Amino acid sequence: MAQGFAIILDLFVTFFKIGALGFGGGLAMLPYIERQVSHYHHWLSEGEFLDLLAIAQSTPGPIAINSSTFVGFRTAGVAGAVVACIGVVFFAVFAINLLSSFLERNVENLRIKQLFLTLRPITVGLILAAAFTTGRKVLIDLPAVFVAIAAFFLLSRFKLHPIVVVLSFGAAGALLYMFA
Amino acid sequence: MGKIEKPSLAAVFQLMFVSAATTFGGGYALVPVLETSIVEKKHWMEEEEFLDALTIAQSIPGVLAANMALILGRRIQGVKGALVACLGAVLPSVISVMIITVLYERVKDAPLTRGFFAGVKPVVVALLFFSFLKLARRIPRRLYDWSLLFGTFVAVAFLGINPFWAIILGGGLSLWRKDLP
Repeated sequence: MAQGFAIILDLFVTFFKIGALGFGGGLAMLPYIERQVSHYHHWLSEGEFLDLLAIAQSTPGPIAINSSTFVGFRTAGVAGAVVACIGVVFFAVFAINLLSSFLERNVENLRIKQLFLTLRPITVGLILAAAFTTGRKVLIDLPAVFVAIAAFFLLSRFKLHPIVVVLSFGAAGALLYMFA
Repeated sequence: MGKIEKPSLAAVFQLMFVSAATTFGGGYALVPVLETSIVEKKHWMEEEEFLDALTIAQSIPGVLAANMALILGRRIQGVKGALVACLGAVLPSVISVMIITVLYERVKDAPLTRGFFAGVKPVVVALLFFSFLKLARRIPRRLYDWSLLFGTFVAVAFLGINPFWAIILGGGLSLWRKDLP
């Protein structure tokens, strides 16, 4: 029992660190997660980390949360999964509430306005980078390119909700692979 | 914000849960989903507010999607809204990963799974590009802003630089800005 508690505590501390020090979204955080989880704690073997990569990217939800759940679940069951997830968002819960209340009190501050005006184009540039890096990995054959273009038109011309587009193409793909 | 009455906590939770449960490929893929729901369909906030929320989410360490949920939830419904939104964003992961982990060996090569992802993955690219175009409309057509935008793009997409450094650089540059009234 005491040992079980020690693992839970260890999971929390490790994922708290990952959440408080990891930057740039799930994919950028994966190398850091690997170092903590496979090299430092030996919770996952190399093969299991490959499973993590596959599962984290093929289940719905943020990749970093999926990874935390996977490691926690493998190491200490449902309690481990929950604790790892709480750990990874713990820092952000406090940081964002403090930062937001600071920003709300200083909306008229010129420095802060300038900061946001400068960070906006950078933020949009990061979205473009995400589109490009994902595209480089995914658009590797003609059908994939065709699906991407069709989806783009459904989104921009027909104003379909992203969720509708995602699920329609997913269902179409599943049907096609099952019966073709 | 505030043009219509405040959405309930349940509505905030539901929106985050459904969005996270239908998003594949990480936090960035969640951006257009949330933007469409929160800004266009429900009018819970303005496009600029959304862009600033995204900016804050990227400037803080941690999980982008959880950061987004916390900021949006807070803007919409205060601290309670933040916690509820974060829970909604995390819960689909916890449930689906545990199920998939148990079933993994059986489902990983099934035609259903492979077909689903063959359909979904290219859509994620379209979504990201679509949300880039939408958010880019909010960037003033000035050389300075677009150099920052494309500089960031090249640095992150081609040179493999961590987004963290782009944010830090932006913070530094903002100290020299004098173009505000």
